[in-house]
Amino acid sequence: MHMSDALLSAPVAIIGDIAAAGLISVAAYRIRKSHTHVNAALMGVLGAFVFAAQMINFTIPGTGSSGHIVGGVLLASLLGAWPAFLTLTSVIIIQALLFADGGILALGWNIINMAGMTCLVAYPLIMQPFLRRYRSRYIETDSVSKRPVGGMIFFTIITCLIGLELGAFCVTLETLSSGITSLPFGKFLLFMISIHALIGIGEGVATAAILVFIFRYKPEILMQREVEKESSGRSYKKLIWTFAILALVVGGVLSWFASSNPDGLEWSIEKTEVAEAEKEQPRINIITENFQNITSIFPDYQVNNTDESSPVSSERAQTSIAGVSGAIFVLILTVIITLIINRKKKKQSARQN
Amino acid sequence: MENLDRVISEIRGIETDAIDRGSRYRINPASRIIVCFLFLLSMLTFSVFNIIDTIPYAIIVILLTLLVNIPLSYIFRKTKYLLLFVFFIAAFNPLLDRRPAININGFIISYGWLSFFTIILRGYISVTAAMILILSSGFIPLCRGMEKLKIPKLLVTQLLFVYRYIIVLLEELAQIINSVKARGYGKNKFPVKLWSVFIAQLLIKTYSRAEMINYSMIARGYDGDIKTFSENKWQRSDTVFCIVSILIIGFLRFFRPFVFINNMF
Repeated sequence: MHMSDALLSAPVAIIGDIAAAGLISVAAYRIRKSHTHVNAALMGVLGAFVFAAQMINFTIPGTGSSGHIVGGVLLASLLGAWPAFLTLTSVIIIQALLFADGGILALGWNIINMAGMTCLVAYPLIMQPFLRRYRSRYIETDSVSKRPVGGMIFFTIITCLIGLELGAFCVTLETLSSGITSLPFGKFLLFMISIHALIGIGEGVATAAILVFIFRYKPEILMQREVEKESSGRSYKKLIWTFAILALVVGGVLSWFASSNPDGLEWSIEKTEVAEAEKEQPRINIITENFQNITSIFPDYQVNNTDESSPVSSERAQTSIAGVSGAIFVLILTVIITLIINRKKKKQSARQN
Repeated sequence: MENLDRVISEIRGIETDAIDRGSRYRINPASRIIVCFLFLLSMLTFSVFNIIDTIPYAIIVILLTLLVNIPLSYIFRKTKYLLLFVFFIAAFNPLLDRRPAININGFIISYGWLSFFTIILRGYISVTAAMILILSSGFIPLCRGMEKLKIPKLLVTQLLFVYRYIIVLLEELAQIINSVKARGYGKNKFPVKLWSVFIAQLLIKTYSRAEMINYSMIARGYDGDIKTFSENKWQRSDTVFCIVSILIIGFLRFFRPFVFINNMF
């Protein structure tokens, strides 16, 4: 589920980052304004708990495989939507920094996909109304045996499932709008949705198991939380608008900037093309095979099925090949030199010890 | 279990190793964050088929690992599984995108393969850049840097809290699992029912721990901010570092080293 920097284009990445920054500011603002019993220590330590819980895998019944929880719905039921969002955000940032999950630029979308979709969309829509009702009923009946848990299991699983599916849907959209994959939308979506359906059910069952245990043996954790006091929405609406406009502007500027520069391969093709124009030779493309499915991305290169022995086409191929192979050669050289220096350093430190 | 121990020691190692890795360069973490961000962003503005201009980024990142003393093998070990998703999505490109891009005497490299290699390379570059950032600065200085960059204080406090308590909770979890194993369950994997019991116990313990921490914080005058000594003021060296880095990034982006070299001859 973790998006990587490699799967995003610059405008998409920056829009995600700005949007996430906006959500984080709103969350911080709302938590400060609403005087619930939720406090920094509780949020922080529960964040660390989610981390620890993710370290231990459980086996998924029926299959041989194992999984770990994401923890969004669990945090949200303990803390409430916005505090849970902020806590999960901090967990995602630490994962990105300490365990190289995702990347620094992809953080924005990772926060929205995982923390936002679960804590801010799925939880308030499904789990929160249910928990509120549960809470009021719980106050009336106090004995352990009278606490039915079927509804809780059901709603937890549904919430986890929908949160993860929304996240998966966003991942699909982001990857496709970055132009990274050539997978068609439908197939990609179907694939992501079906995999995350399995993950979502696993997550739901595990979260429900924990919630039921707590509900049986220490219900006050789930029940003592006051209903969040809604602060007046005006002041942070401004904040949302600011961030939305910022995201659009920066994204737009970057996408214009990215598309106005030809890439290295195009550049090498262009260069040979200019040379050809000077020679006043007919315009022929580098491609010499019969591939028909040609390109909306580079419409300016028309493909003619020239024969392979054409001197021009091979000359052109050599230019681009020289570029690519030269670059790769330098890269390999750097890696080798680095490895040699690393080994020397190791030997030195071993000698010192 | 070994996994847990390894994670604990790795997290512990970050702060101490950062001192001899990169703190000696005396560059403000805030400026490091900015430069890292711009570096990756400029890389992503290239098209996904552009492997030639992505390679200089890889070279710079590799040279930086030398500078801050992170072995390449460490990076490969850490990213073994994490790039699976990236690899998986990229792997479809050569299958689906067969538009030919380069022809070497009949041997054709398609756009799909180009984008495949570029995506994998980008994945490694971004992960390595993030590792250089954290391993050369240390986590706590990095949080102070974020504070300087106007990231909400509540989030920074969260980060510090989570980071501080990860080790505590992981050690507690290790105890629980040790005792489960010692009592002869004898399995490395736990079914959901058993798993949920000890995770929920850990949660209940954690909850009361958090309440105690909260009370003791209030008793010591906590008012919403964790106060830290901010030794790291923005110095002239930071400005120089930022300007030089931005010039290098600009060169990578606009003059594109390999194109530049080609033009010279």
